Amino acid sequence: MLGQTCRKITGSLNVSPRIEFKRYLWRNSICQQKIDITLKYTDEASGSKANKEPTLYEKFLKNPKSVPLITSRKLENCNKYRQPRQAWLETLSTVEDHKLGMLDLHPDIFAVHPRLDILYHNLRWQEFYKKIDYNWTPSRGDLDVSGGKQMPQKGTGRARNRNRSSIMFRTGAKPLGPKGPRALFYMLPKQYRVQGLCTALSFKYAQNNLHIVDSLEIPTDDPEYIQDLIDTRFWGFSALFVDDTDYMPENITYALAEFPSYNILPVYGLNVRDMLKHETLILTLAAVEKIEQKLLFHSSRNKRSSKFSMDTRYDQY
Amino acid sequence: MFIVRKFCSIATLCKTIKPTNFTEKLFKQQDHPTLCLTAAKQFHGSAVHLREPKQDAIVIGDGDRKYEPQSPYRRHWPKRFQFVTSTRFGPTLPRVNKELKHQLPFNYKDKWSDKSALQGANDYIDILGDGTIHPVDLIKGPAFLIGYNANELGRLNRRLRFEGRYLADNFPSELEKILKRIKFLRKKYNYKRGKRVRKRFKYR
Repeated sequence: MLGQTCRKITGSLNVSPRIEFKRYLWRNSICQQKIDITLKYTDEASGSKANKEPTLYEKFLKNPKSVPLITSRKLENCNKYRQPRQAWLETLSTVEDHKLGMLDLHPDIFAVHPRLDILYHNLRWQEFYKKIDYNWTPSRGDLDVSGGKQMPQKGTGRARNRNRSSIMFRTGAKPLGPKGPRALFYMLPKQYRVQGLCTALSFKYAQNNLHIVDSLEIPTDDPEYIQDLIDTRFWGFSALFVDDTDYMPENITYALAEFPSYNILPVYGLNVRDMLKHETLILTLAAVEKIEQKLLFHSSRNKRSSKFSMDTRYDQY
Repeated sequence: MFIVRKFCSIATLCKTIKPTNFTEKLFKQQDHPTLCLTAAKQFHGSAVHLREPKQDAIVIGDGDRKYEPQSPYRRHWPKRFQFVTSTRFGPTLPRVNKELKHQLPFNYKDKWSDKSALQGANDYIDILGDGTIHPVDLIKGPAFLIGYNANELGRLNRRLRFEGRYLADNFPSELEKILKRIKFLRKKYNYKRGKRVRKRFKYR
């Protein structure tokens, strides 16, 4: 009922003389005149063929590689209230910087809130969970020493003592020193590690240090090619190339072998510490898709991760 | 009002003052016969130094009519030249002319070596890989410590479970030390701990 009444009112309003008078005023106003002028000039410009620029479509018909295309990537489980971030698709096949297209990146991975505490926890975990401390100091029972008295109780001017293993002696025991090989092992919860990767990637994207490339194939074997490429694009003093699988193209492996600060990794080797150590991150398209798939799968997974315990690793007990 | 006047007067007088050049001072001391004996005098300071008049004073007139106008920056010299003694010295002298013996070589850490450039590789392999490999498999060390973090009692008991037979056959003295230590720690952890734990009785 309400909708019908509204429609009647709006129908009557458009026909009323008051609104028609307003439209008449608007058309004769200066704003509308300016708009009319611009449209007239644009029509004239498009009409004349002398200074006409070829349109994108005409350029594409001649040479499809000369025009940047907007490729729409399918993002899975994208939040409708969050817009996807965009990045250029570049190449390594030329020293100059040519863009092949534009990609959509998932906001839950490349636009995460910058949480420094998660990054700190990840870095600390990476440093300490592999450490084994081999320091050992002997206690009184560990020293191979006879139990007899060193000197008579009285008579000598020295302090009284029993064993050579006592703490007062220079060659004696250390009472509360480090004892035995000790492991500093602990595991972070899986969500902390997943979010650590997401924050590192979002930091790299936000600071313009992330570049996406179609593939890591290079025309030559020369290391100077890579150096020129990185210098012209201002990618910095250190770069990390990430590919989909273990098998890398031949030329890039020979070229990057001479540079200690330019490194290659597969996707499963990616980690927070190496991402922050190298200035720029260069991902291939296939690597981006793999990373997104894995991180989204694990971020929404509530199953408790299998602990390193007797249930899962019985053969080692 | 008084404060404003003072500032104005100071500002006008500042133009007439010529600051002394630091280099002029140094050259003077070097030329002086008695003072140039000490090598790094400017840095170190000496017990004995001369007081010399400042050359920046305002002097008007020549000869008999020479006089100095009264100003807040007038010099108090010429006075009787005197030797000044002080027991305060500056910091220690640099060992410039001495030969350094037993000089340890300073080794810079190579932060981009093969080991340190990709140190954290494969730490997230259970997330970004198949899921069959766990980062615990990357740890290198004794078998009884991989994936295990506990206090000393637990570590020793676990070591016996893994390496007890091997130690009994080949290193009986070491086994005896382990057993002694276990006996001691059992009593320490179970009988000698109260509400407030002292350093001696902590779980290490």
